[in-house]
Amino acid sequence: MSTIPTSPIPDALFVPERMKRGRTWYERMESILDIAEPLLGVDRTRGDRAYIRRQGDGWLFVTRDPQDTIYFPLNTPFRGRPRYHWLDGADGIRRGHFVPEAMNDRRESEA
Amino acid sequence: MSASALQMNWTSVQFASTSLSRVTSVTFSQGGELIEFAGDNNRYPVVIANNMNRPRCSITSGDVATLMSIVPGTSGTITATQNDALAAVGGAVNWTMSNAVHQNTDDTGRWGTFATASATFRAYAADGATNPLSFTRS
Repeated sequence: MSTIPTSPIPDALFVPERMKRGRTWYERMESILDIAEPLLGVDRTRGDRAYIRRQGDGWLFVTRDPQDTIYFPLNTPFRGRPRYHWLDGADGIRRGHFVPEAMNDRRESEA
Repeated sequence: MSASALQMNWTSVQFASTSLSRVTSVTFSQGGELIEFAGDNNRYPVVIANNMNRPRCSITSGDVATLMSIVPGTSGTITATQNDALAAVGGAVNWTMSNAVHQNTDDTGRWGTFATASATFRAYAADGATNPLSFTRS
């Protein structure tokens, strides 16, 4: 059964590496976080952060939790299945919303 | 003061539940690997491809006992903060290596110098696809 994401705030982003700006590594990282953190609803005053992973295929996988994975871990019943529904944004950024199973996992881990 | 965009020294270095102090060096590596193809009468590779990445980390500390106490094969998350060179607020970089597995620790001590230990770690991807090495600004 497919579901239509209703949350305006995505759980993950794929940001194209070409969106990096700046001369130094820190400036390039900051330019991506300046885009990603508002989209992910990161509240830095509460200690939230957005974590960047270079995927090596021209995309940066960005989430609020450094333990997030693109697919379900291989030691779970849903191994290898996508954890997100992906929507392509007009700005070139792909927005991911948890599938119900991933949302349940998140609720259980936070309980 | 804005971030200097230069990093220097490490704080808040941790592996699993073990806090590591007296850290003198941390290295995070993307672990990229290349395979080369050549055939026929080629004398040089004609194609070079990146098929696998094996992220790894190395931590050197003057706290020899703590690093030596980590058992090879132990897995956990490595976190480390690389400070802004001028201590600017928000200028530090926070590194996180998920699914890090301790490989080995070497203890080194030369005459007339402080002893240090270096621990090496490899990291795996829980789903086989997501880079276990992530970073953010502090």
